[in-house]
Amino acid sequence: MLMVAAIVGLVGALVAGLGAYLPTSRYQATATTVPCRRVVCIPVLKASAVIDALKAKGHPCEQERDEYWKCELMVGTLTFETTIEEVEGLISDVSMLVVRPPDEEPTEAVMDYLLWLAALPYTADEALTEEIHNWVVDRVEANEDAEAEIGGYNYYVVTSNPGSIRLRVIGALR
Amino acid sequence: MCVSTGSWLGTKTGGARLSRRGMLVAGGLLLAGCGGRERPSIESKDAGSARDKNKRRLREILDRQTKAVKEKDEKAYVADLDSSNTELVEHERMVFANLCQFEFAEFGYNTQRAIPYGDHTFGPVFRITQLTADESPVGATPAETFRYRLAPKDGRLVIAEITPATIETQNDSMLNGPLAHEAWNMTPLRVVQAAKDVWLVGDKSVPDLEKYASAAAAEAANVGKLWGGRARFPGNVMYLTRDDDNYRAWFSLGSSSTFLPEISGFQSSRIGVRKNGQVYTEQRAGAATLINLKNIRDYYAGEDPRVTMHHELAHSVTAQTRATTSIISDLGAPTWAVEGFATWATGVRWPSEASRYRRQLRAELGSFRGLPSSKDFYGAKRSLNYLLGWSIFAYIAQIKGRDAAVEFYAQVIPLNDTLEPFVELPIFDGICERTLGTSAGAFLEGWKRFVRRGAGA
Repeated sequence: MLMVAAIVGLVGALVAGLGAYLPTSRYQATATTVPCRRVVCIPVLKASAVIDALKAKGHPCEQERDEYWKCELMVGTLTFETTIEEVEGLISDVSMLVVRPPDEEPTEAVMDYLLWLAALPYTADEALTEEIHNWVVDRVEANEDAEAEIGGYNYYVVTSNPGSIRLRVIGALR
Repeated sequence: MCVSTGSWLGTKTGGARLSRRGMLVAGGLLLAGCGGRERPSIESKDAGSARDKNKRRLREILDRQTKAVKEKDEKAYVADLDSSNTELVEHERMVFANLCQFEFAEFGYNTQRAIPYGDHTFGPVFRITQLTADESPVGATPAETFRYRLAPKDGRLVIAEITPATIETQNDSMLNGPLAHEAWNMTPLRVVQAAKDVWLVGDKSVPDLEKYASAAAAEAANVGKLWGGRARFPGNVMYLTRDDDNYRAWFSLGSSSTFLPEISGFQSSRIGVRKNGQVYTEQRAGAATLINLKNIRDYYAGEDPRVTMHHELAHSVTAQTRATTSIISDLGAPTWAVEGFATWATGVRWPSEASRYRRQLRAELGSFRGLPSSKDFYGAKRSLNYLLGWSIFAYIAQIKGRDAAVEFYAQVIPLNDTLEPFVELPIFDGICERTLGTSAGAFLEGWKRFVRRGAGA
């Protein structure tokens, strides 16, 4: 048991503070989407900046194919996986998967990781970020799959696979 | 209020520099976005959409089938199939009857990676079939990949179609995973336990399966003893057939680039999936051997499969240690070592076999430069290539003893072969120093002399 606690602790250290990578101050509610090909993307924030941030936190990232990145970190019984679809350097589709032992409650580190993604398009809007956080936390606690449209993005929470939580944010079709 | 994007990017982002293009795009947006933008709100959609509900239903069915296999309850296993689809029901009954004869350490379905196509189709679904004969230190359980289609029937959803992953479906993301090519999917089977850790599996062409049990048990024990306490799977599963079509179909053997219909046996590997749905290819999760008794009859008098059994077991018993093909190398462990060791092992067991290899090597040698490459090992010169592989181990056994030959093999096979000669790599030099107490150069010179002088007594 001690071993497990130590491993979870390590993940906490790796994931905590990811939020700090995206400066949240001084950005106001400007445009929250930008057209990119047939969909919309998160404006300004480059896919490479997010990938660099994950790499800096120890998540190994690989470009699996053109405009598609996967960052996968496995620590003990936990897997953290981020996939990013990039269009013209920006992010059109980002998804995070956390896999953990099915009978364990998600730890704070797990929730931090998911919430960091949930807020990506709206880092500047603290009030909205908090609303989104609450929405995600409620869905995970209720252990239910859910879909929502927030601004120009579709949000998906999938909890129906035992032991895994997936959160996906996709720029809507134009 | 609109604030310049420059300050938004701030100082902490490090790598994120605003490009000219980014500036233009963002600038345009700022202009467009400055007038009375509405604050986005959360608009929940119908939570638990049809697709999610259907996936939960599939999960429920798969859990029930898992329980049915564990409890050997055929009625429960077919209860959620489309009963009007006789072909599907009959096929699944055969699979069920087959599965029930095997001893599983873990059986179930992993839907971690399953994605929907429309509201009713889901894949990849991994069927987890870890036998008590399999083992993985990293929690990769042997799996097969399927796509499921559900359909409404009498007011509920039932399984209408199960599509297996095959070599032809490799680019289909809904069938992305280990191939569903175990014999139990294709042919009615009979399983006979030959020893505590040995199982024989046969089709209807082998009504005399029991006849081979004692030979299988003996050869498994012999190979196990040779390999000693090194890492290995806990059990041996050996398939026997006299049916050429089954021989070709099982484990996709016929599609393998090294397949020849007249070869007497093969070893197949089982690929595992971890709990999180990751297909784990760095190490085999299980192994099996497959023998065509008809081919044995054409080659050995009296249909005696022991030499072939021993050879394939030498592959399967050491398969957990052997390098798999990977992104780094599509060659796997050096083939001269893999085939050479298995051939040598049968020569250790039967000295008459060793004499035969020696005679044959003398006859086929001709011009000889060194060890064959893995790339065309099974090509036109394969007979000579097997014998050259054999001679490496025969030479080590002669100068350093049998244990040194096994240890040399155990240290070579975790490594991938390379396009440049493997024996010129520093790591090979290290193996020679550690296991033989000599440099690679001196060892290879000695081996070449041994071969030219007739490969021993």
